[in-house]
Amino acid sequence: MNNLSGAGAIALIGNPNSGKTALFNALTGLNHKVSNYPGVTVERKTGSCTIGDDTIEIIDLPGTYSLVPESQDEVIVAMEVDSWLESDHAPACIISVVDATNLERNLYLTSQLLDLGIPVIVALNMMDLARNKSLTIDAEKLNSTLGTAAIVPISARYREGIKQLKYQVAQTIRHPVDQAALLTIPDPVKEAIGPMIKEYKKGGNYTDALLHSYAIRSVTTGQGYGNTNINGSSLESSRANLRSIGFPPETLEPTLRYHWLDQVVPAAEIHIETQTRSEKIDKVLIHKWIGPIVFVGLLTFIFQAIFSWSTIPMDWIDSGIASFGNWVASTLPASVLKDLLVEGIIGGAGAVLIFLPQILILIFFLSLLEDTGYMARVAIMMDKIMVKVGLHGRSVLPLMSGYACAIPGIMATRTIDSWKERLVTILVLPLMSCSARLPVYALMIGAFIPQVTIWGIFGLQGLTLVVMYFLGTITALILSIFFSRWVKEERKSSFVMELPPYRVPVMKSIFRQVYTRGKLFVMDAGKIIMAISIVLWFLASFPETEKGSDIQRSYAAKIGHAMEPLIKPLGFDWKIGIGLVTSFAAREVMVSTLATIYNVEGGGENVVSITESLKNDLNPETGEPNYTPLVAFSLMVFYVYAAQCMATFAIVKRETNSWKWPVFMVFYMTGLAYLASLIVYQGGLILGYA
Amino acid sequence: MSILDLLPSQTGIIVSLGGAPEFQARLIEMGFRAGIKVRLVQKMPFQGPVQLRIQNGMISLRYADASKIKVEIHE
Repeated sequence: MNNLSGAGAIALIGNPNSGKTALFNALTGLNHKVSNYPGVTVERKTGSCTIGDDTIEIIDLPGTYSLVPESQDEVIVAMEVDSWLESDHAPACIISVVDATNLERNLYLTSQLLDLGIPVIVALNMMDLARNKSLTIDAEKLNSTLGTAAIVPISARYREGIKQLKYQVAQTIRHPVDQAALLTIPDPVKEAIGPMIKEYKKGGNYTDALLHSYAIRSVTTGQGYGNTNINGSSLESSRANLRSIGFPPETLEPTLRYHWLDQVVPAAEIHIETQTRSEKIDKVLIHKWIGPIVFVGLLTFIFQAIFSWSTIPMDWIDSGIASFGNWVASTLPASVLKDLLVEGIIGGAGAVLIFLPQILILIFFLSLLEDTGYMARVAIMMDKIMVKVGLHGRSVLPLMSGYACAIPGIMATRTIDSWKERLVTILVLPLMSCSARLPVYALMIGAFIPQVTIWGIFGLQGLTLVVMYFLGTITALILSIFFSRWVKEERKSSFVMELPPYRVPVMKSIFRQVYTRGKLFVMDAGKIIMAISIVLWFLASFPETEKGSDIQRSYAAKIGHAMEPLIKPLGFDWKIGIGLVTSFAAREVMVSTLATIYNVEGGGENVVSITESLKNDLNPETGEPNYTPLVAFSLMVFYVYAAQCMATFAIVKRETNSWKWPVFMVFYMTGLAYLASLIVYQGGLILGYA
Repeated sequence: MSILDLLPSQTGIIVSLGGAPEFQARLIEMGFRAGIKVRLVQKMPFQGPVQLRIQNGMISLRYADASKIKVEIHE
């Protein structure tokens, strides 16, 4: 076959942290998320790769230790492999990505892949690290003992060996060779599982290797594989036979494979390492007392940085948008279109765009924590507390991703192996203050919290922000205690977590992530805000009275005033009421809504500063300011808790496969928001903070 | 003796695993099995997870799970 394009895809399979995603990026040229945290690729991804003149499809699958899955991301791999065998669109070859510094354990998965009857090329990754550790691996020799199509030493991170790997892929597709089944099964074991082997011989047309692989796996897990439904009595007799010769059946497959690997992998590679650099770093970073202090310190630093680093770029954006709006206002002839453009679109979208620097800073730090390998440490530091509240150490990364956005966070819960702990994590995750709340907090803090420093180091504004994040987080943890009592599950969760070595992050990939997330925020927010701003502008500008448009008589005001009885106890007026309605689509829309309303009110000659407008908004009856620090607090607390993001509910529906949970989420969060705001506002009034 | 009885930085040789059979299967998949050397790297306070060096991997297990792995001291 000369044309590779018709040959079918190639699939990348490997352990978490084997550098699979880095290789995917090197092969496809698309720079996807490379992560140092186990199991961050939680979905099947495809890309295309050019080899010579041909383009070939590449499938990237979540990292897994075994084809016998424990968690949802591993299930995705096992199901994908099953679907290859049950249909005729198996990939032309599999690239088994192997961490050269931890050869034997990585080859365990390779040995399972070798039984599938699909050519396997081993990409011996992390050769840069292996060289540093002076590990020499005889690839030729390993290739002949394993029976793989080829073994190519590479370093995906530094783009080494990619050409050779592509060459071997082309060779393998053009000249496929039959791979011999090499897993040696001791005769007594073969005899013991005879009834099961017979089942699979009857059951379908499997190759010898696959047949034995299935039989062993069935005896191990008690389940049927391929198209064969296993017979309970052959399972029981196989298991009984094994027990009688002293083999526990439940651990048969891994025991047999390691028995084989011990002979295949050179003994020199199975030595135990002396204290590594990572261990020395861990002595400090997860030290009993220093560890938690460092963690809390890091978080505080990040939230402070969000405020202090962003002032200058925010001023640029602010003045840029204002002058752009003013330029449009003075250039275009007076018309409804001009009003719409200046008051609705530029005013609305601009108000949210200002917060882009803060969001980018947040994403930058989260990516940094992830890519260095620190997040995995946080998971083990927090496991004890997490279990106490009904979650899992692996809940920490999803929850912290929730600070950026609930959606990737909810996806990342797939790495949690217990359904109960996963569901509870999903249910409380939207309480983690996401970056869409940041514009709302930042607006309220900027307008109503004085810019003073307390105790010499903490800015009051930054501290208020920390309080909001803390409030959401602590509530999430408390609610998990209750939720985990309602959800029932028999299986006890386990915790086998790999700690990847610390690595200096590749700045290019960090900035790529920041760019991707930033773009997503601008595009997504842009679309929603644009649409809502236009609708809102109409509602706020019409019907026109004789004197032109009067916002007090507009449709928007009517809707807002209708809501007032409900929201007045929380300290909110009709303008905020409209914002609450519009921000059901996405939280940051609150800011653009207020901006549009004030711009319409201001008459559209200039784009008004929303911070100033909020401060100067006086109640026409009393002459008192409409918004006070207390109202700002009440509003921020409302946003900490309220369920206001359509996209989140859609993803919860998808991941839990039921409408029950997203509906529950909307009710409990909105109820909580109302209650909390009521307590803050009414309590504040009683205490005399008017 | 259990793996938790090792002193930090001490290496032991695994004698047997324990716990639910499925959990043992995963442990073996991760490289834990009789005859293999394992070093106790660090224990988290309040019986939190422990860190173990097995071959060239660093694996963290919960205290209760780790207590079921029996070892003898490797001199």
